Amino acid sequence: MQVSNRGAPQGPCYGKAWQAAIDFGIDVSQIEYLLTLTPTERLQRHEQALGLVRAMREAGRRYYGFDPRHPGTAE
Amino acid sequence: MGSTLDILGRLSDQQVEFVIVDGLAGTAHGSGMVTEDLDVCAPMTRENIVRLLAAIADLNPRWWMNPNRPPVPLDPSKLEGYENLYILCDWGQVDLLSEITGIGDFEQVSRRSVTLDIAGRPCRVLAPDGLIDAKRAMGRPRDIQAATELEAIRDHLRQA
Repeated sequence: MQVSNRGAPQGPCYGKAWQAAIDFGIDVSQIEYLLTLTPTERLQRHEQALGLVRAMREAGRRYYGFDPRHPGTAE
Repeated sequence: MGSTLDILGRLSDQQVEFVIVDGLAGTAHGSGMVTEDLDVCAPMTRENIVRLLAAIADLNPRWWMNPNRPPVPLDPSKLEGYENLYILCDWGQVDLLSEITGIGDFEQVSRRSVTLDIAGRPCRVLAPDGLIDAKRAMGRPRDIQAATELEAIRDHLRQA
Protein backbone atom coordinates (compact mmCIF):
# COMPACT_ATOMS: atom_id res chain seq x y z
CA MET A 1 0.00 0.00 0.00
CA GLN A 2 1.25 3.44 -0.81
CA VAL A 3 0.25 6.45 1.21
CA SER A 4 0.34 9.73 -0.61
CA ASN A 5 1.37 12.84 1.23
CA ARG A 6 -0.02 14.99 -1.56
CA GLY A 7 -2.08 17.73 -0.02
CA ALA A 8 -0.42 17.33 3.35
CA PRO A 9 0.49 20.61 5.00
CA GLN A 10 4.00 21.76 4.13
CA GLY A 11 6.15 22.25 7.19
CA PRO A 12 9.36 24.22 7.41
CA CYS A 13 12.34 23.14 5.33
CA TYR A 14 15.61 23.00 7.26
CA GLY A 15 17.92 22.41 4.30
CA LYS A 16 18.70 20.27 1.26
CA ALA A 17 18.94 17.03 3.25
CA TRP A 18 15.60 17.77 4.88
CA GLN A 19 14.01 18.21 1.46
CA ALA A 20 15.76 15.03 0.23
CA ALA A 21 14.19 13.12 3.12
CA ILE A 22 10.75 14.44 2.18
CA ASP A 23 11.36 13.41 -1.45
CA PHE A 24 12.48 9.97 -0.22
CA GLY A 25 9.11 9.58 1.51
CA ILE A 26 10.34 9.89 5.07
CA ASP A 27 7.82 11.25 7.57
CA VAL A 28 9.68 14.37 8.63
CA SER A 29 6.85 15.45 10.93
CA GLN A 30 7.75 12.42 13.05
CA ILE A 31 11.37 13.59 13.12
CA GLU A 32 10.25 17.04 14.24
CA TYR A 33 8.22 15.51 17.04
CA LEU A 34 11.00 13.14 18.15
CA LEU A 35 13.47 16.02 18.28
CA THR A 36 11.27 17.68 20.91
CA LEU A 37 11.92 14.70 23.22
CA THR A 38 14.98 13.89 25.32
CA PRO A 39 17.16 10.91 24.25
CA THR A 40 15.67 8.83 27.09
CA GLU A 41 12.13 9.70 26.02
CA ARG A 42 13.01 8.74 22.44
CA LEU A 43 14.29 5.34 23.56
CA GLN A 44 11.23 4.78 25.76
CA ARG A 45 8.98 5.62 22.83
CA HIS A 46 11.02 3.23 20.69
CA GLU A 47 10.43 0.46 23.26
CA GLN A 48 6.70 1.10 23.02
CA ALA A 49 6.83 1.00 19.22
CA LEU A 50 8.85 -2.20 19.29
CA GLY A 51 6.31 -3.72 21.68
CA LEU A 52 3.56 -2.89 19.19
CA VAL A 53 5.56 -4.37 16.29
CA ARG A 54 6.08 -7.59 18.26
CA ALA A 55 2.39 -7.78 19.21
CA MET A 56 1.37 -7.38 15.56
CA ARG A 57 3.87 -10.04 14.47
CA GLU A 58 2.50 -12.41 17.09
CA ALA A 59 -1.05 -11.70 15.88
CA GLY A 60 0.04 -12.51 12.31
CA ARG A 61 1.77 -15.69 13.47
CA ARG A 62 -1.39 -16.83 15.29
CA TYR A 63 -3.58 -15.99 12.27
CA TYR A 64 -1.42 -17.80 9.70
CA GLY A 65 -0.18 -20.54 11.98
CA PHE A 66 3.40 -19.64 11.07
CA ASP A 67 5.60 -16.59 10.89
CA PRO A 68 4.58 -14.95 7.57
CA ARG A 69 8.06 -13.42 7.32
CA HIS A 70 9.43 -16.96 7.12
CA PRO A 71 6.78 -19.12 5.42
CA GLY A 72 9.25 -22.01 5.27
CA THR A 73 8.93 -22.42 9.02
CA ALA A 74 5.23 -23.41 8.81
CA GLU A 75 4.44 -26.12 11.35
CA MET B 1 10.50 -8.74 32.08
CA GLY B 2 13.22 -6.25 31.30
CA SER B 3 13.77 -4.38 28.07
CA THR B 4 16.58 -3.16 25.87
CA LEU B 5 16.84 -0.08 28.08
CA ASP B 6 17.37 -2.38 31.06
CA ILE B 7 20.16 -4.21 29.22
CA LEU B 8 21.79 -0.83 28.61
CA GLY B 9 21.51 -0.11 32.31
CA ARG B 10 23.14 -3.43 33.16
CA LEU B 11 26.05 -2.77 30.77
CA SER B 12 26.52 0.68 32.21
CA ASP B 13 26.32 -0.47 35.84
CA GLN B 14 28.95 -3.15 35.19
CA GLN B 15 31.15 -0.52 33.52
CA VAL B 16 31.29 -2.36 30.21
CA GLU B 17 33.18 -0.14 27.77
CA PHE B 18 30.96 0.44 24.75
CA VAL B 19 29.55 2.93 22.27
CA ILE B 20 25.95 2.55 21.12
CA VAL B 21 25.84 2.38 17.32
CA ASP B 22 23.37 1.67 14.51
CA GLY B 23 19.59 1.75 15.02
CA LEU B 24 19.32 2.67 18.68
CA ALA B 25 21.98 5.34 18.30
CA GLY B 26 19.77 6.74 15.55
CA THR B 27 16.78 6.52 17.90
CA ALA B 28 18.65 8.55 20.50
CA HIS B 29 19.36 11.25 17.91
CA GLY B 30 15.74 11.38 16.72
CA SER B 31 15.25 8.63 14.16
CA GLY B 32 11.77 7.13 13.97
CA MET B 33 12.93 3.75 12.64
CA VAL B 34 12.31 0.74 14.88
CA THR B 35 15.04 -1.80 15.49
CA GLU B 36 15.09 -5.09 17.34
CA ASP B 37 18.61 -5.22 18.68
CA LEU B 38 21.07 -3.23 20.72
CA ASP B 39 24.26 -2.84 18.68
CA VAL B 40 27.34 -1.64 20.50
CA CYS B 41 30.94 -1.25 19.44
CA ALA B 42 33.17 -2.56 22.20
CA PRO B 43 36.78 -3.57 22.72
CA MET B 44 36.96 -7.37 22.88
CA THR B 45 39.39 -7.39 25.78
CA ARG B 46 39.19 -10.02 28.48
CA GLU B 47 38.34 -7.35 31.05
CA ASN B 48 35.44 -6.06 28.97
CA ILE B 49 34.13 -9.55 28.31
CA VAL B 50 34.22 -10.30 32.04
CA ARG B 51 32.14 -7.18 32.65
CA LEU B 52 29.75 -8.11 29.85
CA LEU B 53 29.18 -11.56 31.29
CA ALA B 54 28.59 -10.08 34.74
CA ALA B 55 25.90 -7.87 33.17
CA ILE B 56 23.96 -10.59 31.36
CA ALA B 57 24.89 -13.93 32.96
CA ASP B 58 21.51 -14.29 34.69
CA LEU B 59 19.57 -13.37 31.53
CA ASN B 60 19.94 -16.76 29.84
CA PRO B 61 22.41 -15.60 27.14
CA ARG B 62 22.35 -17.67 23.95
CA TRP B 63 24.12 -17.46 20.59
CA TRP B 64 21.85 -15.55 18.22
CA MET B 65 23.49 -16.74 15.00
CA ASN B 66 23.12 -20.42 15.83
CA PRO B 67 19.55 -21.59 15.04
CA ASN B 68 19.67 -23.98 18.01
CA ARG B 69 20.45 -21.02 20.29
CA PRO B 70 23.01 -22.81 22.46
CA PRO B 71 23.98 -21.09 25.69
CA VAL B 72 26.84 -18.62 25.64
CA PRO B 73 29.67 -20.00 27.79
CA LEU B 74 30.09 -17.96 30.95
CA ASP B 75 33.82 -18.62 31.04
CA PRO B 76 35.46 -15.46 29.61
CA SER B 77 38.39 -17.43 28.23
CA LYS B 78 36.00 -19.17 25.83
CA LEU B 79 34.91 -15.85 24.34
CA GLU B 80 38.38 -14.54 23.61
CA GLY B 81 39.30 -14.17 19.96
CA TYR B 82 35.83 -13.36 18.68
CA GLU B 83 35.54 -10.23 16.54
CA ASN B 84 31.82 -9.93 17.17
CA LEU B 85 29.40 -11.46 19.68
CA TYR B 86 25.73 -11.82 18.73
CA ILE B 87 23.83 -12.64 21.90
CA LEU B 88 20.15 -13.23 22.52
CA CYS B 89 19.09 -12.94 26.15
CA ASP B 90 15.77 -12.83 27.96
CA TRP B 91 15.53 -9.05 27.74
CA GLY B 92 16.49 -8.71 24.08
CA GLN B 93 19.29 -9.04 21.58
CA VAL B 94 22.67 -7.41 22.03
CA ASP B 95 25.39 -7.39 19.38
CA LEU B 96 28.94 -6.53 20.39
CA LEU B 97 30.97 -5.42 17.39
CA SER B 98 34.70 -4.79 17.41
CA GLU B 99 34.59 -2.66 14.26
CA ILE B 100 32.06 -0.54 12.44
CA THR B 101 32.10 -0.42 8.64
CA GLY B 102 32.91 3.05 7.39
CA ILE B 103 34.46 4.16 10.68
CA GLY B 104 36.86 1.58 12.10
CA ASP B 105 37.67 0.03 15.45
CA PHE B 106 36.47 0.94 18.93
CA GLU B 107 38.96 3.79 19.37
CA GLN B 108 37.89 5.39 16.12
CA VAL B 109 34.20 4.89 16.91
CA SER B 110 34.75 6.27 20.40
CA ARG B 111 36.34 9.44 19.02
CA ARG B 112 33.20 10.06 16.97
CA SER B 113 30.79 9.50 19.86
CA VAL B 114 28.95 11.85 22.17
CA THR B 115 27.79 11.24 25.73
CA LEU B 116 24.04 11.28 26.28
CA ASP B 117 22.06 10.86 29.47
CA ILE B 118 19.99 7.72 28.96
CA ALA B 119 17.62 6.86 31.78
CA GLY B 120 19.88 8.64 34.24
CA ARG B 121 23.14 7.08 33.06
CA PRO B 122 25.80 8.64 30.86
CA CYS B 123 26.11 6.54 27.71
CA ARG B 124 28.39 7.04 24.73
CA VAL B 125 26.49 7.10 21.46
CA LEU B 126 27.88 7.37 17.93
CA ALA B 127 27.24 10.94 16.75
CA PRO B 128 24.99 11.62 13.74
CA ASP B 129 27.93 12.29 11.39
CA GLY B 130 29.45 8.91 12.25
CA LEU B 131 26.14 7.13 11.90
CA ILE B 132 25.64 8.66 8.47
CA ASP B 133 29.14 7.60 7.36
CA ALA B 134 28.52 4.05 8.63
CA LYS B 135 25.15 3.82 6.90
CA ARG B 136 26.47 5.21 3.63
CA ALA B 137 29.36 2.72 3.77
CA MET B 138 26.97 -0.20 4.29
CA GLY B 139 24.94 0.94 1.32
CA ARG B 140 21.96 -1.41 1.56
CA PRO B 141 18.56 0.15 0.75
CA ARG B 142 17.59 0.22 4.44
CA ASP B 143 20.90 1.90 5.27
CA ILE B 144 20.37 4.52 2.56
CA GLN B 145 16.94 5.25 4.03
CA ALA B 146 18.42 5.56 7.51
CA ALA B 147 21.22 7.82 6.25
CA THR B 148 18.72 10.03 4.43
CA GLU B 149 16.67 10.38 7.62
CA LEU B 150 19.76 11.12 9.73
CA GLU B 151 20.94 13.76 7.26
CA ALA B 152 17.54 15.45 7.60
CA ILE B 153 17.90 15.30 11.39
CA ARG B 154 21.34 16.89 11.06
CA ASP B 155 19.82 19.68 8.95
CA HIS B 156 17.19 20.24 11.63
CA LEU B 157 19.73 20.23 14.47
CA ARG B 158 21.90 22.80 12.66
CA GLN B 159 18.92 25.13 12.42
CA ALA B 160 17.83 24.60 16.02
